[in-house]
Amino acid sequence: MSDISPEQVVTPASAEEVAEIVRAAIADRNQISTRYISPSDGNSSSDVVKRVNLQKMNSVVEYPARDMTVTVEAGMPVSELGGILAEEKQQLPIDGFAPSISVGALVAGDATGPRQYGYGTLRDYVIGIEAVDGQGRIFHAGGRVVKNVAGYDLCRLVVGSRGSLGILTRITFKLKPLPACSMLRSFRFRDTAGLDKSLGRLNVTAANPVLLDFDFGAAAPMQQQTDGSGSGNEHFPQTLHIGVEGTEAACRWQLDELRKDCAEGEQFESDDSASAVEQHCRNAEYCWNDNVIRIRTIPSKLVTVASELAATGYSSQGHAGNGYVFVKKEAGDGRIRAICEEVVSRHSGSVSQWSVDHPADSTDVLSLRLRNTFDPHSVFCN
Amino acid sequence: MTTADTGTTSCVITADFLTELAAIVGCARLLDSRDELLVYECDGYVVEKSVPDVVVFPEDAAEVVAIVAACASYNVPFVPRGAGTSLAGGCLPVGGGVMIALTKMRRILEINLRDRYAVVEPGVVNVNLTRALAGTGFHYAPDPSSQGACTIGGNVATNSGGPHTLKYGVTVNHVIGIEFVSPQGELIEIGGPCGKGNGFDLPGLFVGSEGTFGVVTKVWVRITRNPAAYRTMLAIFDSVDDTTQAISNIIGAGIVPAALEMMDKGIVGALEEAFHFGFPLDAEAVLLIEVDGLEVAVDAEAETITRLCKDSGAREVRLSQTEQERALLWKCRKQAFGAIGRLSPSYCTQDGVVPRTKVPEILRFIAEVSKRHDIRVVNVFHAGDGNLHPILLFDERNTEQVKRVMLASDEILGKCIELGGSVTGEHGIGVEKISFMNRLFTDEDLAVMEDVRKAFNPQGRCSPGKLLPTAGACGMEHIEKNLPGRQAAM
Repeated sequence: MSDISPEQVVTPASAEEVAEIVRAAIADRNQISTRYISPSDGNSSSDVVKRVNLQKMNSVVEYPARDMTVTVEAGMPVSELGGILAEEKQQLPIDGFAPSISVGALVAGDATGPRQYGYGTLRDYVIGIEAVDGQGRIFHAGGRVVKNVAGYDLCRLVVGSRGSLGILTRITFKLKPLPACSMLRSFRFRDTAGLDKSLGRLNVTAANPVLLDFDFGAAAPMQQQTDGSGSGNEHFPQTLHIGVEGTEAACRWQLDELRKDCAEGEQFESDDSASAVEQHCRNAEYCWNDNVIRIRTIPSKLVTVASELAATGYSSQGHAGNGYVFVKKEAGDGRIRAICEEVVSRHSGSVSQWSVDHPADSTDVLSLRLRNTFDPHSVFCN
Repeated sequence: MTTADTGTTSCVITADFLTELAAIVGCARLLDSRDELLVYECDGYVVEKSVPDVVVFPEDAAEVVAIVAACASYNVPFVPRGAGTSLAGGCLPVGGGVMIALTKMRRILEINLRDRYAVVEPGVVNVNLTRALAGTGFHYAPDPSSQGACTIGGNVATNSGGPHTLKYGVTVNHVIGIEFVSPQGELIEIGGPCGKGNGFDLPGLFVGSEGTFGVVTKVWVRITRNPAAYRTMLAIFDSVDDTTQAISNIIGAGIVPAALEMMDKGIVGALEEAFHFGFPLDAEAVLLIEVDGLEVAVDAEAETITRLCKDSGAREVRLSQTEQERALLWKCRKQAFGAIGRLSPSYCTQDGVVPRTKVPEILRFIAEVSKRHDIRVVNVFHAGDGNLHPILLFDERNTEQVKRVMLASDEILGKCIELGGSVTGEHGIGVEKISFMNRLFTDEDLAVMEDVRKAFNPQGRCSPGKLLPTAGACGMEHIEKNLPGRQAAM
């Protein structure tokens, strides 16, 4: 049986033990979570919230490398999985997360980063799951093959559900080969018209970028505009970062194309190190910080949205190709969300914040029914 | 007055109900005479048949809402239908009731190249979207072999695949939003151009639900940039084992071609007779391999694949020299099933999947089953995905042979499960493979799936008797169990 420490952390070693924990929590009218939650957490409807730590469920179940799939227990750290896959020159091309998190947390949180532009998101890679629902039922969906339409696609449903529908215990991923080479280039722009024009051209570029990120500076404060005391960067307030992959020759050919596509910009960084793309993606972990407001819009509205935010004094960054805009929330700034919502309401898209907006809080009738189906006793604390 | 059955309760098709339907769509878009209804007794899966009581052809979402609301009011089951190309009985009207044919909802509502999406009605024929995109540098990636006939609404229902899904993914990877009419008659929108928002991935769950969640009235799909260059190859082998080894070596080398299709000697012979492409009639199998991407990169990939094929025993690897030659090769592949008629009066296609490295083992097993049951089997399939389409040839007038076909099919799909695979890669469960569901999934898995169905379709009125063995399966007694006949398989 699993160990239960005084801190109310349980560490099951199997799906059966997770199911037992869920059933016990139902009987005891407790709540459980796969992340730490203090008893005073506002989301909890119970006095006791047990944290289910899956650290003992951290093994590779099956890795038939030539099938390009891997099945792992949900507690395996993502960084460890990455190392195992790299030995076979393969990867799960998902970024934008803390390396220490588990694959279960990765999937439940639907972590996405810069390379979603070229590779897609976790919903494109999870092909099989085992999980325990809020009734203590161990259920499976999908399988171990890359193409499979038998049964309802509960894999997609649990991706991004953040533990509100069940506790993932085992996941099968489809994999991609590691590229032979990757390169990153950055271009800066003097004005939004030039940036927008380049983005339009990049949409039909002959190259095949795997990431297309931007930084959009806020309008310089009035004092800096008049006395020239700014850093100098205000002359190039917008930046694009573009990553490519392939053979070295293919990367260099693509960079030539990108220079033409970004004719209105000025290339200012040329990091040819093998880890430039990787480093850029690692830095994108900020997307998931709690102090970041996340906007999802359509790519054609991105420059407009970022410009309007800049006009109100907010700089932004994000994934231009996918229409993601991230705005950092400074401590004590109580108006930023309202401003973002106002800007988005004039165009299209949605606004969210990690700790505030939870899928389990969705109020549409289907989400409510699904939540009630998977967790009728509200045993999962979000 | 006729009687329909949802599987749990009987209902009556009354004159009032028919009058109400006629008021919604008009008499010209309603069929209720026996002769006309017979056309809709089955889809591409002709083994089982069930005649609907009435077929209606709505032209917009408001009409679908009104039809579904009438069905709810009179407690009549209904089933949506696109082009009827399902190979698993996905649009079989189990227990009768109303068939909602969506072929008149065929408008492309929006194409947004800058944001890479299109909005279409469910009755849009798959290939018509790519045709509408011709010259823009974009296309719609899912390309089932039936793309000249099948509809995007049907593709959403079955999560359709196709040859190029090896690199580009299946339908669910390209659907970002859905508008549908729930079985209660509500018009619901999930997802859209900006994705699923902060909620659950409801579009992801909906795709592949085989019509059991509601009637699709609008779909937002991603459109994909055309690759700059293609290289299309035909690798010719003297043994099936060498062919499957080449498949394994290509995937094992970390190359993901845009398509990797295998055709064996039987299919190649039929294709050559039909299209005169120049296929070698003495080869045991051929691989149709396509790489795409950057002009600067495709030659190197094609050279590597050529070397891997030759190292695996390929007699010859031909590179398609012109766009016309490439187009003809793909025409041959996509119309392969049409050529089967040259081999046999009837055939039955299966849709099993195995892990890619198990392709050699399953093909040996299929050959053994073919020999043991004395049933000729030919193979044309998506080798890169491990998605098999063994085609069992027979004469439906020979009842004893038909029994052997059923046994052989069952053994092949059973072996796919045993090898860690699935019984369907792209055709769906429909009514055809319901009996395999409890071999693929545990009782708890199926109970959870049944609960999910109830969240969308609590009365089971929408597409009863599909996908889940518990979903109104008792309605199956209304199905006319025929012999496996000719299938318009794709």
